[in-house]
Order: sequence, then structure tokens, then C-alpha cells
Amino acid sequence: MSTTAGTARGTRFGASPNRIVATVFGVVYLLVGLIGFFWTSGVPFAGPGNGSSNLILGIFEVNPLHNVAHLLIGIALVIAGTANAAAAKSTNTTIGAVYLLLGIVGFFLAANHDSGLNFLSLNTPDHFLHLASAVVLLAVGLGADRRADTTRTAAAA
Amino acid sequence: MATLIRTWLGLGALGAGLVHLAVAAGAPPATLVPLVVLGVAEVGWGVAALARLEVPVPRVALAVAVVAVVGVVAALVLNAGAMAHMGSVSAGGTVAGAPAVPMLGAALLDLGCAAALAVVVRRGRRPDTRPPGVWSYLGGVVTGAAVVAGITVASLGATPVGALAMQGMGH
Repeated sequence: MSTTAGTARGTRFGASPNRIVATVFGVVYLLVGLIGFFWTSGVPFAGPGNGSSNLILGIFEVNPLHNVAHLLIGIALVIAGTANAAAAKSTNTTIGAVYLLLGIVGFFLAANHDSGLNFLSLNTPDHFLHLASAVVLLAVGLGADRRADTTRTAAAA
Repeated sequence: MATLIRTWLGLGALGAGLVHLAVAAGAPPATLVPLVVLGVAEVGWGVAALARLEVPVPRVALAVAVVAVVGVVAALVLNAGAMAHMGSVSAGGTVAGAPAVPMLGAALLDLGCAAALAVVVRRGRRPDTRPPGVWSYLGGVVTGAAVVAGITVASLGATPVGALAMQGMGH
């Protein structure tokens, strides 16, 4: 049985928490980005929608720019997850940090829902999802597949 | 198990730090400085706990977590006593000028960290002889992240600015 975190063996997909998380999150964000366009007809490209018709599954508010961001993040995660553990680790950490910033700054930017500052058309379920994604990506990116990181550093030296 | 405990500690400290920093944004000057110092320390320590192989300075972290929890509870009790003495009723309550609900949310995360840190301190520097499998590790991370994100978002929503954001959901 493979072990994890500090002692992950190799970079095989099933033995790398970073590759699994990057691929799973990547596929989910790709799907969310794609199906999001079904809920954004008549919604401004970058700005708050009406908050009732532009809700994916009636929960997560989006606009076209938000969908594009989901697509780009999904593509980056899937590519990194299918490449190798070092790429997945770096990508998870970077996107996790960006999501953490978005989860907090976005929360306050969206304080006035109809303001132009809410350019991603965020609502509370979005904030929860961004923060939860951030902590999972950061925890796995910082804590797992250390050997992959060491290997990459050694190879670069 | 030590790996998962260290990960949960990192996540909990990160959540508590974010809430403390958010509360600091609207706090009076006397409360702002300690909240910013505590928040920055918690976020930094949380990232270090996630990134390192061992829990950083566990005894100091345990002391800080306990002081943070006891401080919030003591301030709430004193505030409630003062309110009762004056015969007034406060709907939300405050902790040294900061809103009580987010402070309690952060205190809940700190309390969880303190409990886990007590286990770490008691356990000492023994190596993790039974590291979790990949799927157990991921299950633990996802569960911890959901709990921390839930408490953090609810706490942020109870801050004055966050309350406005929560109203935005009803549009």
C-alpha cells in the first residue's frame, strides 16, 4: 500500500495525492466552466447578474468571465495532474494561494452585490467553494509529494 | 495519524487567522493591533505546519491557542456582565469592540487546534510509524477543509462587511 504526505513513493498517479487532487478538481472546474454558460445568457460578461437566473444548480452564481476563469483553472489543473507530481504540486499550491486570496478578498468585494467591484458575480456559496478549494489545494500542495519536490530540485541543480 | 493531525492543525490555524484578520479590518485601534498580530501569526504558522514535516513550536502554539480562546470567553463574560449591570441588552455582543460571532468562530477553530496540539505535545517527537494511505489522507484533508471553510465563511459572514455580502445572496 502506498503511503502519503511526506513519504509518498514515486509519482505514479494513484500514489500521488497532488496528481489525484489536481485531476479531480481540474475535471470538476472544467465541467462547471462549461455548464456555467447554460446559466449566463443575458448576463454581462464581467459584472454582477441578477442573482436569480445565473445560478448554477440554483446555488452558485456565475457570469461569463467567471466561467472562463473556471475553464482556465480546470485546464491548468488537468494538464498538471496528468503530467507529473512536481507539476501537480506546484499548480495546486499556486491555484490554492490564488483561491485563498479570492475567497477572502472576493468576500469583501462582493459586499455590495450590485457594485462593479463584484466583477465575477460572486455569492456566498461561491465564497465557501473557493475557500474550501483553496485549503484542499494548499494543504495537498504544501504537504504531500515532498519527494517529487526534492526530485525536481535535485534535477534542476 | 500524525500527518493528518498536522494537516488539520494547519487548516484550523489558517481559518482562525483569516477570521481574525477580517475582524481586525473593522475593529477599534486598541483591538486592531493584537488581532492583526494574532491573525498574521496564525496564517504563517498554519502554512508552516502544512509545509513542514513536524508541527512548528508546538508548546508555544498551544499556549497562544489557549490564551486566544480564554481571552475571547473572558471578554464575552465581562461584556455580558457589564451589559447586565447597565440593564441593556445587546443583540450581537462584542469582544473588546469586535463582533462576538466571528470571534467565537475563530475561538472554536483555536480550541480545535489547542486540543490537537495537546495531543502533539503529549506524543513528543516520536516519528509517525503509521502514515495514512493516499485515499485516507485525501479524505482527511477534504473533511478538514469542509469543516474549516464552513466555520470560516460563517464567521466572515457575521462581520459587519461580511453581513452585507451575505445579503447579496438573496438577489
